[in-house]
Amino acid sequence: MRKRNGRLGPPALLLALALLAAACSNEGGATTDEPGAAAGEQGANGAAATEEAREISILSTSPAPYTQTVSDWDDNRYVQKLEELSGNAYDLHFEFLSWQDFQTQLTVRFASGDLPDLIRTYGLDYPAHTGAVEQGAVLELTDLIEQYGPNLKARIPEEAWNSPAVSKDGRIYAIPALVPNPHTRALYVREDWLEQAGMEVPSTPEEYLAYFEQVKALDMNGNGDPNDEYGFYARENMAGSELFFYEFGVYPDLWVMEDGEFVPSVITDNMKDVLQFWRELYANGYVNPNLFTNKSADWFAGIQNGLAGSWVHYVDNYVEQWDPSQFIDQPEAEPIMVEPPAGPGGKGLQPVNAGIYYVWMIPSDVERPEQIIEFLDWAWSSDEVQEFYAYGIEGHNYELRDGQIVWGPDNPNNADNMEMRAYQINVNVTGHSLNGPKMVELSPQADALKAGFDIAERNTFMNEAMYMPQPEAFETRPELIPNFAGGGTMLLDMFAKVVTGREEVDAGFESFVQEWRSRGGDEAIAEATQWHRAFYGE
Amino acid sequence: MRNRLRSLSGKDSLMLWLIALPGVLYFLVFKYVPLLGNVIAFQDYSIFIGIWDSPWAGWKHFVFMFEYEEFMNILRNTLVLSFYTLFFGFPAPLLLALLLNELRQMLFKRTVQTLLYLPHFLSWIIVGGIFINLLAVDGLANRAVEALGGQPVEFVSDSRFFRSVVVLTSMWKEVGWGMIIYLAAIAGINPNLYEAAVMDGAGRWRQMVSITIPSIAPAIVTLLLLRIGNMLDTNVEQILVFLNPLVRDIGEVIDTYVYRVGLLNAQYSFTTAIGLFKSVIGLVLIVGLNHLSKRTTGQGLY
Repeated sequence: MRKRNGRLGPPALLLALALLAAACSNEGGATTDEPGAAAGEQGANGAAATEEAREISILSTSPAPYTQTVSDWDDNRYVQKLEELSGNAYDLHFEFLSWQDFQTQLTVRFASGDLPDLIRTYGLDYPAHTGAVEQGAVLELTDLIEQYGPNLKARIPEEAWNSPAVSKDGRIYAIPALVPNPHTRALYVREDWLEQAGMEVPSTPEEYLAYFEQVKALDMNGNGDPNDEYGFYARENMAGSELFFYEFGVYPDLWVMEDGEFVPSVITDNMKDVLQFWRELYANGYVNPNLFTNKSADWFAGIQNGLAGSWVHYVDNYVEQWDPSQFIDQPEAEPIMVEPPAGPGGKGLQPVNAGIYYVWMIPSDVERPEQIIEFLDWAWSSDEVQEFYAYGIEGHNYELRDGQIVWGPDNPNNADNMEMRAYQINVNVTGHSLNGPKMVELSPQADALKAGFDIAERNTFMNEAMYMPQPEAFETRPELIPNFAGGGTMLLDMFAKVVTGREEVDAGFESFVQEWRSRGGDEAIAEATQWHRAFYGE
Repeated sequence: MRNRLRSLSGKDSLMLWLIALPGVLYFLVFKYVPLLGNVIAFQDYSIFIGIWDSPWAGWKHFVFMFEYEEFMNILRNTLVLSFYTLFFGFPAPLLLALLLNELRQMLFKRTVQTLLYLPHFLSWIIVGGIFINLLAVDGLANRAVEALGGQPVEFVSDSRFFRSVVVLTSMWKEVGWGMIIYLAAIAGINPNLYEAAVMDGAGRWRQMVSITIPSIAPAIVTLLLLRIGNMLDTNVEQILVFLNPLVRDIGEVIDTYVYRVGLLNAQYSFTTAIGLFKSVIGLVLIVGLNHLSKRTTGQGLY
């Protein structure tokens, strides 16, 4: 095109401008597309790609700072290792979108139609591609997986395949990637504070009240002020702070059958017990008074500075956040993970979930999709690949001594820029391997971690709504969603007002239920009840 | 101007057009063409079908917006907050600039000026975090209240204080930055005017009232009109930092609602409808007030 430039003049100038713009945009595309050029480069590197090597382009994202340090993923040692493990049967082209801005960037890719063979997303219902299934933009995979993915079916549990993130109306549109520990929620208690109070680990909500009273009465952190410790330490939007809910038979996003209707548990009368209990916590100073404005960073700092007698977080964070060494000026600090209390409604820390980390979708215009299924099937079934995902590359990320694997997170090749995430997450197409059994075994805190994971796994409870797609009524009215996440739900507003004593328990709760139902909750319940009947068959 | 343009030969005027072309193209491509995208407010837009083929929805999204139970409340919150921000926030940099202009010690003036506009460069996440800690029930501000014999006040979780906190913190952060424009306008005033005034025996106060303020009046009016055009816009980053369930009845504004409903749930058409509504109100306000301003003060945007 550029050769056609004839005489120079204003029109030619304009044309040149336009061409320049076009050239620029082409250049932008070249970094992401044109797999041919990239493949040639790799051949020159001596990776000896066979002629039949199947090219697969993969669009993903990763939280690791290491991701930004890699300019050419085709040339990356971890990608090449993965290809090598396949006997160079695959020629992989990874591309990573921004972790923070993933949703927007993914939307742009869908809107422009510039799509790879495998797309990482968080579920069929992820807002970045609303309507993808209905508009036929992604491939239906039910039969392909049946035929080409026997290991996928065998290794990925039934709950994951049934999740609304993966299938719709009984048809599968995505392939789940899993976390090693689906249930990691833990209740942490300061054992040293229990000792000071002369108490055992509390086992009921009432016993916790007794512990909290002691926390309030004594100067647990020894800073001279007996009033700056709180029995339970919560944060903004109740994030990860939902203790004393299931103990009364209620939990955010838990739906239950009541009088022939499938309803969110938070609108059942049991919620009043929760409100009453939390109101007491607040009125007595057993919980931090700034619980509705306490930002995440302040929450971490508060606990590590010795303001908290107990809190809810994840087992995974034990090593990095809740190890005794992380507690400032408190040599005696002894945070432990404990069994949750048993209340009249039950005992449990979190609902059963399928452990989906993210899912893969395949655009509908991809050629020979069966080869892509085979690729994932191979990654799931190969022990070598799974070992690579756990420890990385021998001689770089770990050593072999007397047949024993010596792997440490302190190895600069693992620690710098969190490079270990490259094999744990970036090129791991089966999920992530953080705190997987292989890794926990090697950790200096293996015992505490194992005990924590055991407790978490033991204390799950069933939520029949785990397979339910989000009711339509919630889509345009997110304030109806029966949880606290992200703030701005009617539930959170009511909870905050009742707990802080601005509204009475009965009046506040009842007007909430009425308002919730009339604003679209009734439609959601009708839809959910119908779904329940169809799914569980009654 | 027009006469001179007409007297130019054809070749010269062509060159002028060419010089203007990049600017014109810029406005066409990046400002006017995207305006057409507003049609998705009247569609059920899907990124997979595109603007051309998405089904038409008529006024559906506007009807939904007005039927939303809390819409009137949100609109009122937005207007009241904007009014407070305008009423207290607009004169503040002007006053500060006038005060600073009276300083004689250049070094002191420069230092104060720099210190005052530094907070502008901090993000709201940081500034908000600092103020939330300062104003917390067990924070520094309440320690002071207690030392003076008062009861602790819930500055950040009591809706009575929400607007004051938002307006004051945004003044603290932006007043120095806003002041720079006025200082520049003041610096452009002809010194002869002041000299003449001194000859006539005018004091500093008289000079300010009779020379400084009238001279920068066009700048004041322009800035005021521009601000009014954005009456329905609020600083969403700031509000989101200070918003919590205990102040939501006062603190929820149009922008935070759009953020909640639209971006988190990908309701492109609905949020475009709200954006269009805001733009129309802004346009009406700016055209009306510009007209009024021109009739009363002779100053206007265009």
